[in-house]
Amino acid sequence: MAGDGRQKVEMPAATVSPFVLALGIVLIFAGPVLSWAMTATGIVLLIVGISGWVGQLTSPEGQIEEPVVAGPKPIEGIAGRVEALRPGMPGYRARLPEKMHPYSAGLKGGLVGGVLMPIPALIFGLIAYRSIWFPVNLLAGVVLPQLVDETLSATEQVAYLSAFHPGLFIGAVLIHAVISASLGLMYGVMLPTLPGRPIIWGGIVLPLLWTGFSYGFMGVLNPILHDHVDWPSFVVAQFVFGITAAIVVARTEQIPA
Amino acid sequence: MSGNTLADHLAIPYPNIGMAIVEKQPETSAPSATPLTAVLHDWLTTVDHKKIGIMYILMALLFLVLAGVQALIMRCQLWWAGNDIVGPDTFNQMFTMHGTTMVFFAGMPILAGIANYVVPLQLGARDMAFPRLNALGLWATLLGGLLTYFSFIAGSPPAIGWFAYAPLTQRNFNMGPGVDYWILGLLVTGIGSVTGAINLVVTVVCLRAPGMYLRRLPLYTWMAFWANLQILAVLPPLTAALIMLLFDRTFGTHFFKPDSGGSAYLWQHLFWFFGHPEVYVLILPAFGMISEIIPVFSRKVIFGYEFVALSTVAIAFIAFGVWAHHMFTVGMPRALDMYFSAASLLIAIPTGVKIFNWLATMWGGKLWLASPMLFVVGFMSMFVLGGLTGIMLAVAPIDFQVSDTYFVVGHFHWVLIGGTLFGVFAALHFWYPKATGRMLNERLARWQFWLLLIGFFLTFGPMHISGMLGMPRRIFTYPADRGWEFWNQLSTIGALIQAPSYLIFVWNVLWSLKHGDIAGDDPWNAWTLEWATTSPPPSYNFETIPTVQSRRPLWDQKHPEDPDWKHEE
Amino acid sequence: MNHASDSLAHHEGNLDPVKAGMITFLASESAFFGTLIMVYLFNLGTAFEPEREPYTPGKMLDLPLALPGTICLLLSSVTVHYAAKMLAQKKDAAFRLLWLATITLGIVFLGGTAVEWRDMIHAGFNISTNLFGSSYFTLVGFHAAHVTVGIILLTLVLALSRRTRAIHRHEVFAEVVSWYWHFVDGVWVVVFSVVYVFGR
Repeated sequence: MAGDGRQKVEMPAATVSPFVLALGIVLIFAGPVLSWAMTATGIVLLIVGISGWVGQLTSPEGQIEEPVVAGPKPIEGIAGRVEALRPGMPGYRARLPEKMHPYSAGLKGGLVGGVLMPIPALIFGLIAYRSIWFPVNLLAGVVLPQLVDETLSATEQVAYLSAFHPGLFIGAVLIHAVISASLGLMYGVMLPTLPGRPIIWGGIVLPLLWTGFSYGFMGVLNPILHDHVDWPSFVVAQFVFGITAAIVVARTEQIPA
Repeated sequence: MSGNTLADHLAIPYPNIGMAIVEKQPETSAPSATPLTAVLHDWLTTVDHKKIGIMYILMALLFLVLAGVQALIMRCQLWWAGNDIVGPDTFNQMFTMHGTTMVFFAGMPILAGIANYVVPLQLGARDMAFPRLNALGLWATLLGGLLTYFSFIAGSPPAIGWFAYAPLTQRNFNMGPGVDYWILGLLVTGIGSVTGAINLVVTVVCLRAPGMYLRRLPLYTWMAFWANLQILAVLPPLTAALIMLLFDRTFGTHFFKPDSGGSAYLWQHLFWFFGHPEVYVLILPAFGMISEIIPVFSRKVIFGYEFVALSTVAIAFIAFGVWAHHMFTVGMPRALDMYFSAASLLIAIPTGVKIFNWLATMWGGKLWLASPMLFVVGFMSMFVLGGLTGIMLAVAPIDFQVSDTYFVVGHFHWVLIGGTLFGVFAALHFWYPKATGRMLNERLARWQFWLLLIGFFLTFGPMHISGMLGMPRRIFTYPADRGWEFWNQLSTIGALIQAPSYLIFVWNVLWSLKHGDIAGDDPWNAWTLEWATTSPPPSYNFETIPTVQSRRPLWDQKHPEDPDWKHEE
Repeated sequence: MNHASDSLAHHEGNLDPVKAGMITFLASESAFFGTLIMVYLFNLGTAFEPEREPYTPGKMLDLPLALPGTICLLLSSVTVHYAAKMLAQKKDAAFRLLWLATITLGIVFLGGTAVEWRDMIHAGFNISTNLFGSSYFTLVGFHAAHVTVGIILLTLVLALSRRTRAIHRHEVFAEVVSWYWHFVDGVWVVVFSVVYVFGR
């Protein structure tokens, strides 16, 4: 920063007025405990301080010309010493994928997983209730909490849930497709960013996470499912989805990000 | 965002620091020795923001030592169960004055002092917006402190705690003038704080160098700005409350007298409406110092500037809505308990954003653990711990159990010492060379750091345990059969380890003034404008007002081939 | 406050420091009055037993008595506004006249308050009588104190305008003082509605 050749810089002059004013204030405040004479003195000092202050503002004495002294050393460029962090350099932090799957891969993985996933659930329905509609109706309960008339007895509820209901069927398929596709999309985006093998993350870690989450929150999200769900087949279904989706995604061609 | 284009990746960043002594000036002092009176007159009448800043810091250090002595007296009293070195009255006076001093006469002034010194330099300004008002702020703060301490001479310091709960503050419980001194002293100091805050806010709004848009402000300046906005919002309510209390005691009004229709509950609301934002007034500038030091000592640009900046705004705003978490045990309506609990927990989010941004700045950087950075690392680890106990206390049912126990004492000392104090020491080590032209002694700084860290850990760690064992705050002694004695003795030992660290710092400051290594203009190879002038700067700071093109103007000058402004926006 | 601040640095932004200073100061003032008003409302809601208490807002506060002063104060806001305008247009005589009118109206308002208070104190009602007295006299008293300070500031500006060119940037000071006066006036609107209109 080179100087522009000036000799002096105009600055406000030193003045005792602020101190006098502060002293006045503190004496005014000391009045209640010490003596009202203090307050009187304080008011006098206050007036003196303010007058001096106004004087500084209204007369040229309030300003002084500070002589310019030797300035700082000029700042030199440090050429050639900057290096951007790149992948592979020690300490490089971001693990952004250099290549990623196309979004269609995630969608495809999700839908394939979604097709395979119901198999364990349907088998469970067949074995336990002799009806493949049982798990379908349960799934629809995500958006229809009042699915079953709760005044019915347990066996009547089961009978209702085992029958085919076109509305519930469409609802269940829609829910299933949306959830599967969204999870698949997430797989497509996330898996390349995670270190290690995608199949471990997609097939084991992530299903474990959301199964645990479902276990904890099922009672809130879908009380009907919570009451009737068969956990072993439910868990198996989740893993079927996770593994299938992960495999499909991982096998897709990667494109540069 | 110039995310990764950082890192002076090669070589040692500062050739003239650390071991190497560049040159020593002859140790005989200036040619014409100025008489003491002239020096005093000079300091008394100065309107230079740098001298005023230094005086603020010296005032704060003086009161820090006084309050430290009071703390030691309390710790010694609590060494044994049933001890009576000092009686209950003295003990009450000690913790009242300790808390009041630390908040109003040590904490706020030291932050005001550093802001006074650094902010105009970082802005590229020649002084604060109102140099004379600046002097008034300093003298009012100092004289207010002295007025409060005058109660020792008048014979009865206040014994009401720093929060002065009603109706304990009324005449029939506190007949001596101690409480009046406390009120009046705080009122005068409050005038100083408010004028100082107005000055700083206006300086930041109006006196920025050409090109320094708000989005290019150095983070320290930005956070000091928000802390001072908070002062503007919460100090006047405290002033109003103090005046009502003064009227209760002097003119017989009834504001805080439950027996004649007044409300003790109202006082708590008024006090904590000030009292809680106050802790953000104390911590936000420390956040700013940390945000300034970490990039320089990691040789990287700050990670997520926008997030660090905006989380400050979030903290500042949420801070206005959490005060009653100090009052869970008062018996508020359930809905209020829930609201204040949730709002208090919410603050953890922007604070966490900051912590992670700092960590990400350090990650992959070329860390240099010189004394400022050492204190920063201490800050980060300790503040997170204190923040966690804060989250615990924000949960009303937990607070019901440990409120008014030593657990709370442990918590807030952990954030105020582990947060504010470590941040302030980092800043003082960082900017001392700028203010004096000499480096602080690294060896002494390391001794100070480790004694402080260990002593601090040992003092306040056990308090969490004695608190959970049920030891109430503010008791002057305790029975032997509660199992508290051991933890109290640990605390006292910790306090005795801490004490010398402060003396080492004072000694370092004095010694280095004459014998420290010559610093040069820019000893840390840093990037903000204060390093573009001489150390110490001339009275006018900058002969030519610098022009700014990015958040790191000095980086741009040092690296013309890869300036920041190519990466920002 | 300092007229030299324009030499201290380039201003990034067009706001004059003196004006910015007044805005921040008034912001902190509103926090102060906000607290007093909150306390007044808090006490109004909880502590009165109108049947047994001889000194209540309903019995002590007289709307017709407070109204003339209020109108004066509102009027003074208008005069000070045009005074500042006249100053900006360099019409010194008109400025001085309107400015003087502002001061006079302010004094009339204070006089009204004094009359009101004299009657109250004669009736045995003062700051220590009960919680209402404490809240009322503190709130209205602090407002009156601000009006007094405002009158002193207005007078100072007028006195210094005699040597208009002697005080650098005289217009800016006059303008910020007029802002302060507007603020005091605005506070009174709130206080008046809370105390005399809704609080009775």
